[in-house]
Amino acid sequence: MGDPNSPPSLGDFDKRLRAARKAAEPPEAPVTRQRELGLAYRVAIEMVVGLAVGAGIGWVLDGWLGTRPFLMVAMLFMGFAAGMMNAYRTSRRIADEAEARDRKMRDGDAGRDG
Amino acid sequence: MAEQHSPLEQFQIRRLVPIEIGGVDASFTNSAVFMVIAVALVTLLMTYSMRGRAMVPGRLQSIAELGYEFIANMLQENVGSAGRKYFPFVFTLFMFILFSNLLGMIPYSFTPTSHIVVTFAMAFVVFVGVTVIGFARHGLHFLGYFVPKDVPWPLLFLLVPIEVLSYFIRPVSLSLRLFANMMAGHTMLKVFAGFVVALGVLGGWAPLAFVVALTGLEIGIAFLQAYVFTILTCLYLNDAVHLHH
Repeated sequence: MGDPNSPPSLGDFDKRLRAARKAAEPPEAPVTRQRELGLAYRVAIEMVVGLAVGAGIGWVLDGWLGTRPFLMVAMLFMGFAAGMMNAYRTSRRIADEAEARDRKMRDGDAGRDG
Repeated sequence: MAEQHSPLEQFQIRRLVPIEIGGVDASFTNSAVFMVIAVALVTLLMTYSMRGRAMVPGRLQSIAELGYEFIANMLQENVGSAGRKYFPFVFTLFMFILFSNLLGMIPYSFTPTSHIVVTFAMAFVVFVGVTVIGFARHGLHFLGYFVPKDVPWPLLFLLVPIEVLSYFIRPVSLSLRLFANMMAGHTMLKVFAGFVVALGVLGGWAPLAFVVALTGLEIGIAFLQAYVFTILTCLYLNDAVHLHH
């Protein structure tokens, strides 16, 4: 300890490095509008694509089976439902991620205090 | 370079070396050139920067290591250790999309990812690959993925087709997202750049400032969309490997 020539222990260095890193880190990357917009876009595209894919599949099936317009209408609704489900899953995942981030931040704060 | 100043001109495919194989037009196009450049740059970056294998990485080696760790962590977090095997594919996908997007930011260059053929081909490979992995790991149990749990059985007649449909939507939404972002962004850039010329020395400064801001934003989007494409690939992989939503 007293010997200035002896290198500081690695554990001590690690601790100091972590503290310095935390201090240099911004409190939490602010959720910018751009990011929010991107997330909204991600959800919206699922719904639109669901509708389009449903209608497309229905249209092709109609051509095969000669049941024009019925299957397309039915598949349009199915596609809408599927798109909604994908959108719901996406938004739930985004919410989970946000929650995990919040928890991590809180834990980080607690760690800094302790 | 351009007599006609259409903002959509940048997306035009030109045949550089016309090749035709069995009636299929397989020409070497300007799009192909930029894909080759992207692959070459990624390969160069990865091999050249790692040739020293220094304990304390230099700048280039840091970039390579950062990319590696980023994707390795993404796979670990989203798929778990079962995802290790698929690292080369996911890493290649990420680097290719990222470099294609970034190459498009260079004036007069071409953005391969602004064409839905390119993005859909990648999404389709992911879709087929994930499905094959699902069947290979779980056999016919993989079909259970489409049957929601804890649902009264009459509803299954409605829910199973919806689940199947939502599974088939994935490659479309995956490819459309990347394609739409790249195309919309690049079109907007060119449109506002056109305003700069149209408004001349007096009024052109406002759109010019906007173009500068937009360029920064587009570089951000280039990273973000590469990230989104890759993380969704990881999530789909996770569904196939672990069989839950």
